[in-house]
Amino acid sequence: MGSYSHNEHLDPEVLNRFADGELSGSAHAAAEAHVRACKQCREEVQFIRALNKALHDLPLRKPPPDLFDELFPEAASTAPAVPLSVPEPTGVWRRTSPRSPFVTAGTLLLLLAAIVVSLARPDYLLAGASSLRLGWKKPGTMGLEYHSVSPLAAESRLRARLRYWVPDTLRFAQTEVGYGVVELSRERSGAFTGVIDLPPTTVYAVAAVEDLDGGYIDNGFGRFWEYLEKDANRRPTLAARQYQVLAAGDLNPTRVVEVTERALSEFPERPEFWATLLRYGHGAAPGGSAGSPPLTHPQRLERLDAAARQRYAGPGEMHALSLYARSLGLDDLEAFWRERLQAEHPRHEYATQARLRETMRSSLSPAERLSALDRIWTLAPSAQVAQVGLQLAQESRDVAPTRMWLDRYASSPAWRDRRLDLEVAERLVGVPALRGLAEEWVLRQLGEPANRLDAERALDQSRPNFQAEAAEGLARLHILHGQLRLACGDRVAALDAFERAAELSWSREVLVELAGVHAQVGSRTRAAQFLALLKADPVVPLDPHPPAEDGVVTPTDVRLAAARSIWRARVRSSLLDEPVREDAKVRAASGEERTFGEIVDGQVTLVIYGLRPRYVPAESWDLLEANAANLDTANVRALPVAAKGDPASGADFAWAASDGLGGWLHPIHYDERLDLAGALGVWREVQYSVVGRSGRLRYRGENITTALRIALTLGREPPASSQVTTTFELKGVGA
Amino acid sequence: MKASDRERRLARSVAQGDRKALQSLYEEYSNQLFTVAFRLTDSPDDARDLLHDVFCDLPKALGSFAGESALGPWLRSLVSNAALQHLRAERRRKRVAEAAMSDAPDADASPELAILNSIALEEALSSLTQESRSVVVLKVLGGFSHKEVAELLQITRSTSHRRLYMARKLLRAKLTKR
Repeated sequence: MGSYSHNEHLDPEVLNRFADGELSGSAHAAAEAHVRACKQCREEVQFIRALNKALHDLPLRKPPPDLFDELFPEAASTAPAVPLSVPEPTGVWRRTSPRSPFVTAGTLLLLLAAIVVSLARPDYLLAGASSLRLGWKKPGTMGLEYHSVSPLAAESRLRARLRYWVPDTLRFAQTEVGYGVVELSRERSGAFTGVIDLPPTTVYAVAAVEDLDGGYIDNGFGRFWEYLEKDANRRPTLAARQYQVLAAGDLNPTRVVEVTERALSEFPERPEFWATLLRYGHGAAPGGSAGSPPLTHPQRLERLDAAARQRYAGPGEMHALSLYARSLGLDDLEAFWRERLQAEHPRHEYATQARLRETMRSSLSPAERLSALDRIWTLAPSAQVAQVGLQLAQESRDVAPTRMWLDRYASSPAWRDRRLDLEVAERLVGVPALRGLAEEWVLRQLGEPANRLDAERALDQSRPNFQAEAAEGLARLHILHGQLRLACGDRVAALDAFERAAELSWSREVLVELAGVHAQVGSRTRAAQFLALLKADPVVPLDPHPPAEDGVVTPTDVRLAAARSIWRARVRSSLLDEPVREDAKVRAASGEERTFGEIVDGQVTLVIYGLRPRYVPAESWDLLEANAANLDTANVRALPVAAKGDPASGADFAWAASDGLGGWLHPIHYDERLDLAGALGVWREVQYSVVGRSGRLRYRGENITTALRIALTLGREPPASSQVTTTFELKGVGA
Repeated sequence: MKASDRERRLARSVAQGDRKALQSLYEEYSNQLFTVAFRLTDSPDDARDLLHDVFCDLPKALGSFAGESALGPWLRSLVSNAALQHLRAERRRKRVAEAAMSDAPDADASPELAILNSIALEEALSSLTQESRSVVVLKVLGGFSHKEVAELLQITRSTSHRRLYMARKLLRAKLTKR
């Protein structure tokens, strides 16, 4: 297969095979070179990969429960059929992680319960067994009591972060959430308390605990600690269950089924719960009341429809029923509930959604659509309408409507998030007619305090990772600003903006952008420096898209060596230096117990810790495989550890336990007693740690690329020179 | 990847008529097998019937399980074969007509939104012709190679390649409405 000119596109079959990773050798190299240079083919490749991922992420379908009864009549009478307690993660047949990095709480609860029950005495509780109690001290004041033997126990003060929900007058409709932060003070070792003012009408809240730096987070391995409003009989109220389901959909999709089933056991025949179960439980039709045969979906819908017509008629129920009917192909019933929703609750979020969908499905012209959106907005302003309106207005390339929709979009910070803001900026920058508006928006973003969105930090996201993401976002804004200045011919301001980006982030994307822009309009030397940094990055990326090297001075060996020094200095400046208990014991697949020290044996080790093997994202394994040769030459070992086995995905074990993958990979080990988790300070369901030759912990976090970069850098350092620190600065690397 | 010892033991027990072993096999694999059957046939009822038949015949079929591949792929291959045979026998072509009908704009709010919207993706997938969908399901979701897809579908490898990229083109058109 030869090379491709920039004018012709790849043959579709070649392109598809390239996107699927099925080409090798010169065919792969030729296709890759073309894809790098050709935007259209690159987009096509990106689409195919995104599509593959989306297909993999489609939910698993469960067979109807009656099939089990039919196949195994002997079991049906004595045991529950298909276990329902552990919701399946999305994704089909390959190693995947749940879309959200939260644990399936059911399994963990069982695990922890087993530990707690078997050891009974509180002082024997192991790392990972902690609790946070939330309860009203008096109306409007929530008390928090945290007990833990986790690494957090040694802190003098801690912080709890909360999200809470207050019902609005529209019944099960409010999706806006309150955020709260409270410091907890230490009462005695491992016991902390604090109080926070919350609206007395709060029906549901979730919380996680972290140290004051936000480095460790205890969220009960993704279980979170919850407050549920109780009735006079100490049972959770309907509203509490409703918001629990709503919150699980938002924060922890892997828990939705479990939470909804519990809600249904207390409040049968609530349409919104059935609809949720249908949506997240992927077609499983749970049984009717005890002893009666399971209902089919049409039977259930019939009952719910009747109940809703007689007793319930809130917008949530109407919306749920119309979705349920739609999923069963009952168009008339779907239309009935949708129209009733729009007629009776015209300003409700669900009615707005339905109207939005109709508008976008219609055959209206773009201008007519914008007018329709304007009417929807006037009736009920909502985030979604503003986002869609802004997008359509931008596509119209007309400044006045774009400004109007941008103002609407910007009018409520609660609707925005960093990612969306950046997308808006990128789209505006892409339209020449809107560049003035784009610059206003970018400068406005850059002028806002960096912690503006701190409350948005996910409950289980550590502060360093959050800040790294925020820095990356800011760097991208500076790059956009630079591009806008360049378009105006203001080269000096543009290059200044690009330098600011480089100060904030060295992500591959930023470096690629900077090398490209300097190659075109800036300094060729600087372009070569950035290219050198890209090439000297110890980590081989999964999806390399280096800039076209035209106009860039190819880095010399000297410059590459300097760039490697810069990386080393940067990596070294961020290292932890904490002791690790080497006597922590883990179990090999064969059953043999070994200490962590014996396994590591003085080598730089990257520990990939997953509560279950399948929680480790496929991309992490892919990245490790892509860096296999690097790991081998740097003498770095990767150690997969799982807290618990995962019989449902035996292939994962086989992969991780295989000996044929090169010396860099240890066989998988198990940490059922969470001994190593405690020793390494693992406090999330997937976490990466790097232990240096000295046995000290040098990295603990959620970013596999950072962990790998640190491990490779440490591995390549000769042991004797580990004391020497390099102090090159980026600006000092001129030719 | 070869079958693990545990899988071989499980398979042997099922082949020898151990109902408990069969039940645990069902609990472990029924979701993924039902999903493959459902995605191939696009009918929950057909998928249910297929799974029923496959599990009834499984003790006999597992007699020929040599452990050359892991149990999961082996079972997926078994179910895929059964589903494809069923489709051939039924000569179901109604989806072709439906595919032509379902061009009504649906998920055209934005490509990003659409691709993230699994309902839209499911609808787009199910609007493909059965031939196209089979290749996508087997290749992308089932993890079979083009060679294996070609064998399962009784087509040539180049046809498998061609159908895959045509299917992707159609999915893209449906999801982005460009």
